[in-house]
Amino acid sequence: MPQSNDDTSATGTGKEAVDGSATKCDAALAPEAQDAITSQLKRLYGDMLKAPIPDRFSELLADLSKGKRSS
Amino acid sequence: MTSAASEDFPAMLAALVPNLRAFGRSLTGSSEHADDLVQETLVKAWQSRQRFEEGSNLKAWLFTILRNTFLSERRKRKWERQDVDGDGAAMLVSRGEQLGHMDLLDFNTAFSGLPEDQKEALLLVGAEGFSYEEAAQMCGCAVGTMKSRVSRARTRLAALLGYESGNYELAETFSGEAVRTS
Repeated sequence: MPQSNDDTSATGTGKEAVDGSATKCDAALAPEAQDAITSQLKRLYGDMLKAPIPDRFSELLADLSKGKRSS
Repeated sequence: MTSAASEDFPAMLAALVPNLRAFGRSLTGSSEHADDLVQETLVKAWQSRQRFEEGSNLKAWLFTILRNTFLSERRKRKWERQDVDGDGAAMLVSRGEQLGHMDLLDFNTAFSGLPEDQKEALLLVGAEGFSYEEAAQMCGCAVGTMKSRVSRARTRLAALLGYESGNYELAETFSGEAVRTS
């Protein structure tokens, strides 16, 4: 069920994943290994984001805003 | 200034469809299943758009809806065992195949094989750029738990990919964008 208990308010778009803080606690890993993982992860994720979007989603959103699908 | 009730809301949702699909795919391991989840998420978000608080993070809100939808669907499936066979069986096969050549996994395979909670944590924090606090809130866990999941995910990936022995030359060709003060 949807819930919006988000009290962090606007924290930017998050479009660019800048995770400087994320790597600081991984003291056990060499910085090079951390960087390698971070960049590969972003590459993989970037590829996923670039995947073509099926029409069903734009159609769905168009229908929703026209009130065609309410349930 | 956009509000959930405004005409921009469908466009705001549309802009996040790629992210929702990517998140759904990493949760389910199947793009078809992910797309069904995304569809359901968009419908639910639309229906409860009045409850979305203006100025709060729409992406975090949508990710939470998608995640909750996925989890409640899975809880239901536990009671209908037959439905599980398709997805579950396929996943087991690929797990088994992965174990066969564990020595050098490609990143994609290594990532897919992470324990669910770690994969989710790394995706939310490392790829999507959510803060630990946001990610913890979305997953209903403590911030410390989220940090430890991300850390364990990285450590495990490093081990699977052989980075522990300083063998990361391959990956460094991609790390141009990872400019970091070090």
